[in-house]
Amino acid sequence: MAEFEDKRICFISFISRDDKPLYIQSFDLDTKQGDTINANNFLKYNFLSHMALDIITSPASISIREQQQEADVRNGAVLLVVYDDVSVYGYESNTGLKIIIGFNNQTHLNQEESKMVTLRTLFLSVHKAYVKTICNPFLEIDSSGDIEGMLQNEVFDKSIKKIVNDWNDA
Amino acid sequence: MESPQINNTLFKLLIMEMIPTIIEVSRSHGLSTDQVNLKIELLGYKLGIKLNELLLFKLADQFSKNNEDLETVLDIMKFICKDFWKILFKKQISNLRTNHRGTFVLVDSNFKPIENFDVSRPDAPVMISHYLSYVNGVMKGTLKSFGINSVITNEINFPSVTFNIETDNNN
Repeated sequence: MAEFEDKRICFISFISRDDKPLYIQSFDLDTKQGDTINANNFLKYNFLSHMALDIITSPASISIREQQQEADVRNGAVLLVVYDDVSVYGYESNTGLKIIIGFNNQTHLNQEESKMVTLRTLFLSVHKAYVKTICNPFLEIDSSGDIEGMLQNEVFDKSIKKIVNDWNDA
Repeated sequence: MESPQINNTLFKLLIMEMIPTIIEVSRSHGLSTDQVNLKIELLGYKLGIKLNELLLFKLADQFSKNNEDLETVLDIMKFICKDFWKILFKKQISNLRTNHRGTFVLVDSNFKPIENFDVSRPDAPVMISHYLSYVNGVMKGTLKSFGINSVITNEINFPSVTFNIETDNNN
Protein backbone atom coordinates (compact mmCIF):
# COMPACT_ATOMS: atom_id res chain seq x y z
CA MET A 1 0.00 0.00 0.00
CA ALA A 2 3.05 2.22 -0.29
CA GLU A 3 1.36 4.42 -2.84
CA PHE A 4 -1.19 5.82 -0.38
CA GLU A 5 1.08 6.73 2.40
CA ASP A 6 2.49 9.95 1.09
CA LYS A 7 -0.87 11.38 0.18
CA ARG A 8 -2.91 13.87 2.12
CA ILE A 9 -6.68 13.83 2.17
CA CYS A 10 -8.24 16.85 0.52
CA PHE A 11 -11.92 15.95 0.64
CA ILE A 12 -14.38 13.36 1.87
CA SER A 13 -17.89 13.07 0.52
CA PHE A 14 -20.87 10.80 1.14
CA ILE A 15 -23.40 9.90 -1.52
CA SER A 16 -26.64 8.07 -0.92
CA ARG A 17 -27.96 4.92 -2.56
CA ASP A 18 -30.04 6.95 -4.98
CA ASP A 19 -27.02 9.08 -5.93
CA LYS A 20 -27.94 12.09 -3.88
CA PRO A 21 -25.00 13.95 -2.32
CA LEU A 22 -25.35 13.75 1.46
CA TYR A 23 -22.29 15.48 2.77
CA ILE A 24 -18.95 16.93 1.73
CA GLN A 25 -16.09 18.31 3.76
CA SER A 26 -12.81 19.59 2.35
CA PHE A 27 -9.44 19.91 4.05
CA ASP A 28 -6.06 21.49 3.58
CA LEU A 29 -7.47 24.67 2.15
CA ASP A 30 -4.70 27.20 2.45
CA THR A 31 -5.76 30.00 4.77
CA LYS A 32 -3.22 32.39 3.27
CA GLN A 33 -4.92 32.22 -0.08
CA GLY A 34 -7.95 34.32 -0.82
CA ASP A 35 -11.49 33.18 -0.31
CA THR A 36 -12.11 32.87 -4.03
CA ILE A 37 -9.32 30.34 -4.47
CA ASN A 38 -10.60 28.30 -1.57
CA ALA A 39 -14.11 28.50 -2.93
CA ASN A 40 -12.84 27.34 -6.30
CA ASN A 41 -11.03 24.42 -4.73
CA PHE A 42 -14.12 23.45 -2.80
CA LEU A 43 -16.10 23.58 -6.02
CA LYS A 44 -13.47 21.44 -7.71
CA TYR A 45 -13.81 18.81 -4.99
CA ASN A 46 -17.57 18.85 -5.46
CA PHE A 47 -17.11 18.23 -9.17
CA LEU A 48 -14.57 15.51 -8.51
CA SER A 49 -16.91 13.63 -6.22
CA HIS A 50 -19.57 13.79 -8.92
CA MET A 51 -17.10 12.55 -11.51
CA ALA A 52 -16.24 9.68 -9.23
CA LEU A 53 -19.93 8.89 -8.93
CA ASP A 54 -20.26 8.72 -12.71
CA ILE A 55 -17.53 6.12 -12.74
CA ILE A 56 -19.07 4.10 -9.92
CA THR A 57 -22.43 3.92 -11.68
CA SER A 58 -21.15 3.36 -15.21
CA PRO A 59 -21.08 -0.24 -16.45
CA ALA A 60 -17.43 0.17 -17.44
CA SER A 61 -16.54 0.41 -13.76
CA ILE A 62 -17.35 -3.23 -13.11
CA SER A 63 -14.25 -4.34 -14.98
CA ILE A 64 -12.11 -1.70 -13.29
CA ARG A 65 -13.32 -2.90 -9.94
CA GLU A 66 -12.74 -6.53 -10.75
CA GLN A 67 -9.16 -5.84 -11.82
CA GLN A 68 -8.38 -3.89 -8.71
CA GLN A 69 -10.16 -6.20 -6.34
CA GLU A 70 -8.27 -9.20 -7.59
CA ALA A 71 -5.10 -7.47 -6.54
CA ASP A 72 -6.31 -7.07 -3.00
CA VAL A 73 -9.52 -8.89 -2.12
CA ARG A 74 -9.89 -7.54 1.39
CA ASN A 75 -9.54 -3.99 0.26
CA GLY A 76 -13.00 -2.63 -0.52
CA ALA A 77 -11.72 0.67 -1.86
CA VAL A 78 -11.12 1.33 -5.54
CA LEU A 79 -9.18 4.04 -7.36
CA LEU A 80 -11.76 5.78 -9.53
CA VAL A 81 -10.16 8.77 -11.15
CA VAL A 82 -6.98 10.84 -11.08
CA TYR A 83 -7.51 14.42 -12.15
CA ASP A 84 -5.59 17.63 -11.59
CA ASP A 85 -3.23 16.09 -9.00
CA VAL A 86 -6.09 14.62 -7.00
CA SER A 87 -6.61 10.87 -6.82
CA VAL A 88 -10.13 9.89 -5.94
CA TYR A 89 -10.89 6.62 -4.18
CA GLY A 90 -14.35 5.20 -3.66
CA TYR A 91 -15.98 2.62 -1.44
CA GLU A 92 -19.52 1.30 -1.53
CA SER A 93 -21.27 -0.23 1.48
CA ASN A 94 -23.87 -2.99 1.37
CA THR A 95 -26.62 -0.42 1.85
CA GLY A 96 -25.46 1.44 -1.25
CA LEU A 97 -23.82 4.30 0.61
CA LYS A 98 -20.84 5.60 -1.34
CA ILE A 99 -17.90 7.13 0.45
CA ILE A 100 -15.50 9.08 -1.74
CA ILE A 101 -12.13 10.33 -0.57
CA GLY A 102 -9.79 12.52 -2.58
CA PHE A 103 -6.04 12.57 -1.94
CA ASN A 104 -3.64 15.10 -3.32
CA ASN A 105 -0.17 14.03 -4.27
CA GLN A 106 1.80 16.22 -1.91
CA THR A 107 4.40 14.29 -0.04
CA HIS A 108 4.41 14.65 3.70
CA LEU A 109 6.78 13.77 6.46
CA ASN A 110 7.06 10.77 8.78
CA GLN A 111 6.17 8.15 6.24
CA GLU A 112 7.37 5.36 8.52
CA GLU A 113 4.59 5.74 11.06
CA SER A 114 1.82 6.08 8.54
CA LYS A 115 2.54 2.64 7.17
CA MET A 116 0.39 1.34 10.00
CA VAL A 117 -2.70 2.88 8.55
CA THR A 118 -3.99 1.36 5.36
CA LEU A 119 -6.58 2.73 3.04
CA ARG A 120 -9.02 0.05 4.13
CA THR A 121 -8.95 1.07 7.78
CA LEU A 122 -9.33 4.69 6.75
CA PHE A 123 -12.54 3.92 4.87
CA LEU A 124 -13.76 1.76 7.73
CA SER A 125 -13.25 4.49 10.30
CA VAL A 126 -15.05 7.00 8.08
CA HIS A 127 -17.90 4.54 7.63
CA LYS A 128 -17.98 3.96 11.37
CA ALA A 129 -18.34 7.67 12.04
CA TYR A 130 -21.30 7.66 9.64
CA VAL A 131 -22.96 4.67 11.33
CA LYS A 132 -22.46 6.26 14.74
CA THR A 133 -24.24 9.40 13.58
CA ILE A 134 -27.10 7.48 11.97
CA CYS A 135 -27.63 5.45 15.15
CA ASN A 136 -27.71 8.49 17.40
CA PRO A 137 -31.15 8.22 19.03
CA PHE A 138 -31.36 11.99 19.46
CA LEU A 139 -31.24 12.63 15.74
CA GLU A 140 -34.51 12.15 13.86
CA ILE A 141 -34.84 10.44 10.52
CA ASP A 142 -37.63 12.18 8.65
CA SER A 143 -40.54 10.00 7.61
CA SER A 144 -39.42 9.69 3.98
CA GLY A 145 -36.29 7.90 5.17
CA ASP A 146 -34.05 10.78 4.17
CA ILE A 147 -30.85 10.88 6.18
CA GLU A 148 -29.22 13.94 4.64
CA GLY A 149 -30.30 16.22 7.47
CA MET A 150 -28.81 13.91 10.08
CA LEU A 151 -25.28 14.42 8.81
CA GLN A 152 -25.32 18.22 8.99
CA ASN A 153 -24.18 18.55 12.58
CA GLU A 154 -21.10 19.62 14.42
CA VAL A 155 -20.30 16.29 16.03
CA PHE A 156 -20.15 14.51 12.68
CA ASP A 157 -18.03 17.33 11.23
CA LYS A 158 -15.61 16.96 14.12
CA SER A 159 -15.36 13.19 13.97
CA ILE A 160 -14.58 13.31 10.23
CA LYS A 161 -12.06 16.09 10.81
CA LYS A 162 -10.34 14.03 13.49
CA ILE A 163 -9.98 11.00 11.23
CA VAL A 164 -8.50 13.17 8.49
CA ASN A 165 -6.11 14.97 10.81
CA ASP A 166 -4.90 11.67 12.22
CA TRP A 167 -4.23 10.48 8.69
CA ASN A 168 -2.63 13.66 7.40
CA ASP A 169 -0.41 14.11 10.44
CA ALA A 170 0.63 10.49 10.75
CA MET B 1 -15.31 -10.15 17.16
CA GLU B 2 -18.42 -10.53 19.24
CA SER B 3 -21.59 -10.66 17.19
CA PRO B 4 -23.95 -7.69 17.59
CA GLN B 5 -26.90 -8.55 19.80
CA ILE B 6 -29.73 -6.75 21.41
CA ASN B 7 -30.50 -7.92 24.88
CA ASN B 8 -33.58 -9.84 23.89
CA THR B 9 -35.49 -9.76 27.13
CA LEU B 10 -35.06 -6.01 27.39
CA PHE B 11 -36.15 -5.53 23.81
CA LYS B 12 -39.26 -7.60 24.42
CA LEU B 13 -40.08 -5.75 27.64
CA LEU B 14 -39.54 -2.42 25.93
CA ILE B 15 -42.02 -3.28 23.19
CA MET B 16 -44.47 -4.60 25.79
CA GLU B 17 -44.36 -1.28 27.63
CA MET B 18 -44.03 1.02 24.68
CA ILE B 19 -47.00 -0.09 22.62
CA PRO B 20 -49.66 0.15 25.35
CA THR B 21 -48.26 3.59 26.24
CA ILE B 22 -48.51 4.78 22.64
CA ILE B 23 -52.07 3.42 22.43
CA GLU B 24 -53.10 5.12 25.65
CA VAL B 25 -51.60 8.49 24.72
CA SER B 26 -52.95 8.38 21.16
CA ARG B 27 -56.44 7.41 22.32
CA SER B 28 -56.51 10.35 24.70
CA HIS B 29 -55.84 12.53 21.64
CA GLY B 30 -58.74 10.85 19.89
CA LEU B 31 -56.80 8.93 17.21
CA SER B 32 -58.37 5.92 15.48
CA THR B 33 -56.90 2.41 15.51
CA ASP B 34 -55.43 2.90 12.04
CA GLN B 35 -53.80 6.17 13.00
CA VAL B 36 -52.29 4.53 16.07
CA ASN B 37 -50.93 1.73 13.90
CA LEU B 38 -49.35 4.26 11.56
CA LYS B 39 -47.65 5.96 14.49
CA ILE B 40 -46.29 2.66 15.79
CA GLU B 41 -45.17 1.66 12.32
CA LEU B 42 -43.23 4.90 11.88
CA LEU B 43 -41.34 4.18 15.10
CA GLY B 44 -40.38 0.74 13.84
CA TYR B 45 -39.47 2.20 10.47
CA LYS B 46 -36.90 4.49 12.01
CA LEU B 47 -35.45 1.63 14.02
CA GLY B 48 -35.25 -0.49 10.88
CA ILE B 49 -33.21 2.09 8.97
CA LYS B 50 -30.75 2.61 11.81
CA LEU B 51 -30.44 -1.05 12.74
CA ASN B 52 -29.77 -2.04 9.16
CA GLU B 53 -26.93 0.44 8.75
CA LEU B 54 -25.37 -0.80 11.95
CA LEU B 55 -25.87 -4.46 11.22
CA LEU B 56 -24.42 -4.31 7.73
CA PHE B 57 -21.43 -2.42 9.04
CA LYS B 58 -20.82 -5.05 11.70
CA LEU B 59 -21.41 -7.95 9.34
CA ALA B 60 -19.47 -6.46 6.41
CA ASP B 61 -16.53 -8.78 7.04
CA GLN B 62 -18.75 -11.82 7.03
CA PHE B 63 -20.28 -10.90 3.67
CA SER B 64 -17.02 -10.13 1.94
CA LYS B 65 -15.49 -13.31 3.34
CA ASN B 66 -18.20 -15.58 1.96
CA ASN B 67 -18.32 -13.55 -1.22
CA GLU B 68 -21.98 -12.93 -0.56
CA ASP B 69 -23.56 -9.95 -2.17
CA LEU B 70 -26.87 -8.42 -1.27
CA GLU B 71 -27.74 -7.63 -4.85
CA THR B 72 -31.14 -9.10 -5.57
CA VAL B 73 -34.27 -8.59 -3.53
CA LEU B 74 -34.27 -12.32 -2.81
CA ASP B 75 -30.79 -12.03 -1.27
CA ILE B 76 -32.03 -9.18 0.88
CA MET B 77 -35.08 -11.16 1.97
CA LYS B 78 -32.85 -14.07 2.94
CA PHE B 79 -30.74 -11.66 4.95
CA ILE B 80 -33.87 -10.45 6.76
CA CYS B 81 -35.08 -14.00 7.41
CA LYS B 82 -31.74 -15.15 8.76
CA ASP B 83 -29.52 -12.45 10.21
CA PHE B 84 -32.04 -9.73 10.89
CA TRP B 85 -34.67 -11.93 12.53
CA LYS B 86 -32.00 -13.54 14.66
CA ILE B 87 -30.95 -10.17 16.03
CA LEU B 88 -34.53 -9.17 16.82
CA PHE B 89 -36.07 -12.43 18.00
CA LYS B 90 -33.23 -14.94 18.43
CA LYS B 91 -34.66 -17.20 15.77
CA GLN B 92 -34.93 -17.42 12.02
CA ILE B 93 -38.08 -17.03 9.94
CA SER B 94 -39.69 -20.46 9.56
CA ASN B 95 -40.55 -20.22 5.90
CA LEU B 96 -39.90 -17.90 2.96
CA ARG B 97 -41.79 -18.08 -0.32
CA THR B 98 -41.77 -15.84 -3.35
CA ASN B 99 -43.50 -15.60 -6.71
CA HIS B 100 -40.29 -14.11 -8.20
CA ARG B 101 -42.27 -11.01 -9.17
CA GLY B 102 -41.59 -8.92 -6.11
CA THR B 103 -44.01 -10.56 -3.68
CA PHE B 104 -42.61 -12.43 -0.71
CA VAL B 105 -44.37 -14.43 1.97
CA LEU B 106 -42.58 -14.85 5.28
CA VAL B 107 -44.02 -17.22 7.84
CA ASP B 108 -42.95 -17.20 11.47
CA SER B 109 -44.60 -20.20 13.08
CA ASN B 110 -44.04 -18.94 16.59
CA PHE B 111 -43.94 -15.18 16.56
CA LYS B 112 -42.22 -14.08 19.76
CA PRO B 113 -43.87 -10.68 20.50
CA ILE B 114 -47.34 -12.23 20.65
CA GLU B 115 -46.56 -15.64 22.14
CA ASN B 116 -47.92 -14.70 25.59
CA PHE B 117 -51.19 -13.29 24.31
CA ASP B 118 -54.55 -14.38 25.62
CA VAL B 119 -56.32 -14.94 22.31
CA SER B 120 -59.67 -15.62 23.93
CA ARG B 121 -60.06 -11.94 24.75
CA PRO B 122 -62.36 -10.09 22.36
CA ASP B 123 -59.88 -7.27 21.77
CA ALA B 124 -57.00 -9.65 20.99
CA PRO B 125 -57.00 -9.15 17.18
CA VAL B 126 -56.78 -5.38 17.54
CA MET B 127 -54.00 -5.61 20.12
CA ILE B 128 -52.05 -8.06 18.00
CA SER B 129 -52.33 -5.71 15.03
CA HIS B 130 -50.67 -2.96 17.08
CA TYR B 131 -47.72 -5.17 17.90
CA LEU B 132 -47.40 -6.37 14.34
CA SER B 133 -47.38 -2.78 13.09
CA TYR B 134 -44.13 -2.24 14.92
CA VAL B 135 -42.44 -5.24 13.34
CA ASN B 136 -43.88 -4.34 9.93
CA GLY B 137 -42.36 -0.91 10.37
CA VAL B 138 -38.97 -2.35 11.23
CA MET B 139 -39.06 -4.48 8.08
CA LYS B 140 -40.18 -1.55 5.94
CA GLY B 141 -37.34 0.55 7.30
CA THR B 142 -34.84 -2.18 6.60
CA LEU B 143 -36.05 -2.60 3.04
CA LYS B 144 -36.08 1.17 2.57
CA SER B 145 -32.48 1.31 3.64
CA PHE B 146 -31.76 -1.15 0.80
CA GLY B 147 -33.67 1.20 -1.53
CA ILE B 148 -36.83 -0.91 -1.74
CA ASN B 149 -40.31 0.43 -1.07
CA SER B 150 -42.74 -2.12 0.29
CA VAL B 151 -46.27 -2.76 1.45
CA ILE B 152 -46.70 -5.32 4.20
CA THR B 153 -49.89 -7.06 5.27
CA ASN B 154 -50.31 -9.77 7.88
CA GLU B 155 -52.32 -12.91 8.41
CA ILE B 156 -52.56 -14.15 11.95
CA ASN B 157 -53.06 -17.78 12.73
CA PHE B 158 -52.02 -17.80 16.36
CA PRO B 159 -49.16 -18.29 17.24
CA SER B 160 -48.08 -18.30 13.63
CA VAL B 161 -47.89 -15.02 11.72
CA THR B 162 -47.61 -14.52 7.99
CA PHE B 163 -46.05 -11.39 6.49
CA ASN B 164 -47.04 -10.66 2.91
CA ILE B 165 -44.49 -8.26 1.53
CA GLU B 166 -45.05 -6.58 -1.80
CA THR B 167 -42.04 -4.75 -3.13
CA ASP B 168 -41.80 -2.31 -6.01
CA ASN B 169 -38.69 -4.03 -7.29
CA ASN B 170 -38.81 -7.32 -9.14
CA ASN B 171 -35.27 -8.36 -9.87
